[in-house]
Amino acid sequence: MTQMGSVLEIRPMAALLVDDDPFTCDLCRLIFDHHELPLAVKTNTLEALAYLREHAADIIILDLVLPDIDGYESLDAIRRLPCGVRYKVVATTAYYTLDTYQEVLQRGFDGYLPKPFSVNQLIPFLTSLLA
Amino acid sequence: MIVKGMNEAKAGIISVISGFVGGWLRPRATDRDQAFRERVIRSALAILILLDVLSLASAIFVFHAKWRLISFPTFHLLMLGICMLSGRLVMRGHLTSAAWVLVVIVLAGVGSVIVLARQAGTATGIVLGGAAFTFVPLMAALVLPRQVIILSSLMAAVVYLVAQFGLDVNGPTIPGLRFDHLAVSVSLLLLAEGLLLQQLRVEFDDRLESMSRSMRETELAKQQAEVVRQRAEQADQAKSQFLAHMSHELRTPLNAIIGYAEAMLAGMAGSFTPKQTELLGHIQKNSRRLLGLINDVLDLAKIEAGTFQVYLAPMPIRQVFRDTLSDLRGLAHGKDVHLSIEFSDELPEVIWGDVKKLEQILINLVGNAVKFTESGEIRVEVKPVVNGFWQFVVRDTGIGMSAEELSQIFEPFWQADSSSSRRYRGTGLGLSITKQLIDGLGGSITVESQLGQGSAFTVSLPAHEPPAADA
Repeated sequence: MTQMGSVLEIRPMAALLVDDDPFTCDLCRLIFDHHELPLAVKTNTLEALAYLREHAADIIILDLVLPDIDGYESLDAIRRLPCGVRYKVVATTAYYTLDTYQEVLQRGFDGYLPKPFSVNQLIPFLTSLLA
Repeated sequence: MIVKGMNEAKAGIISVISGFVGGWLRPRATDRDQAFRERVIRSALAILILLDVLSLASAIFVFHAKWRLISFPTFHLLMLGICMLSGRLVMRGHLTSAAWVLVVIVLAGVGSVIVLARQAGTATGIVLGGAAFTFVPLMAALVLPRQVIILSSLMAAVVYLVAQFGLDVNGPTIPGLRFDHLAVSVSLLLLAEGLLLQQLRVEFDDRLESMSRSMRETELAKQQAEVVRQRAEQADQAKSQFLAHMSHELRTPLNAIIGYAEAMLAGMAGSFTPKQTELLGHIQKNSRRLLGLINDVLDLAKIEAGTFQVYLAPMPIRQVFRDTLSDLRGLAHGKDVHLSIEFSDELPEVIWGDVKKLEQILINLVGNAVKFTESGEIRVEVKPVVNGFWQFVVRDTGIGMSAEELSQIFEPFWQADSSSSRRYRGTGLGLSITKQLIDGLGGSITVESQLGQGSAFTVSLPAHEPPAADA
């Protein structure tokens, strides 16, 4: 798994981060900038949904605990958008349980990124989802 | 055909009568005690009415008694009337009054029957009358307050004696039988009956009382236990929620620290001198360790809160072991420790199980082995499936454990009171969590170790059957 990044070629992706923690957003921007990839950032579900009505996205990183709408409901809302089923949606949370991984996949997310995400592995992980 | 029809008609009549009698005998009171009294009174009434109707019929048709103001038929009619009154009282739920009326019916009715029998010169009524009085204390014992049982037997005795001797009528004689002797012995019998029945009733009431008291106490204890259980449940939920929030609050800033340190180490904020890079590495490593400690504590709390769930999925078993161990190689960095895996040839490609929990178990056991091994080898052997279980062994050449330590390593916090906690940093929760995870998965863990000779942890886990495919 760790070696995947070196094998996969990093491809351009339109990514959207939905997270209310400013440092997580800032750090993600730093990582994406480093790889010269664009990243849109929204701090709540409603703004994210509004953004997605206007813009396309390949991948969405969605915090499970947002100020307005619970992460699972947000996922459902995203899936109901036109093309919503085509987005790769990755759950992320600082809530820690051993079972979150399985629960998240069962609920229909495409992947799970527990916080803290590894700075070196974030982009390779997202790339592998899009492959 | 006709016979059959008659039989049917007979059956019909019998069912109507039994339905009526059954309906009359069925008590209406809902309280068990009351229902019992009511049933007794209803049955006694039914018997009395039946006897009364029979006596009335025999007086009229067999003895051809004359209809006069004071005569058998009029007395029987009067008694029937009083029986109806008692029945009415029962239907209204006035059980004690109904019972008193019954006692009066027997006393007055039987008393007058004796008097009338003496007048008429028949011995049968006098002898049977005495026997009928035994009904009075019995009735009182069953349905009246227990203070009046002896009183009622006294009343019966007095009425009997008065009926025999008090009234100036010439009785019949039976050779060899003296009525005064009969009267005295029947009166004594009535008193003795009253006394005995009162004893019985007192004992019965006491037992009933103590039984219902113990039932009430049990009920109360049950309710209290339920309240305690609910409170504990609420407290557990509150604890879980608190831990979830706490976890989030603790981890959020920690995640930022780890993330920024890693971003700087990855060169995302320009380049650093080697010394700066080294210090950044310390920040990163220590914040990761803090995260591990927080996770340990939360893991244990989670498991103890009972929110344990098993998620079954096909696990590519060799890949899971290789990936997890390759992630753990970093731990052994700087030590002269060789990490290796050996798979049994008979091990299947895929085993059904909970992959995340297996990884956690492996991380804890191998992490532990690395922690306690300064130099030498850490070897993981994965064995085949036998009898529905598969095993793996984590063997190290580390410091090992004494027999005393072995007995308590799976207890939470054991490391906290041992001297090793300062040398080998950790919460001391890792093995306890590992054991609870394995227990939760339906497996078992054993350990063999000697001081200075290394340790071997053997984990046995169920190889689950794949769920049946949907047709």
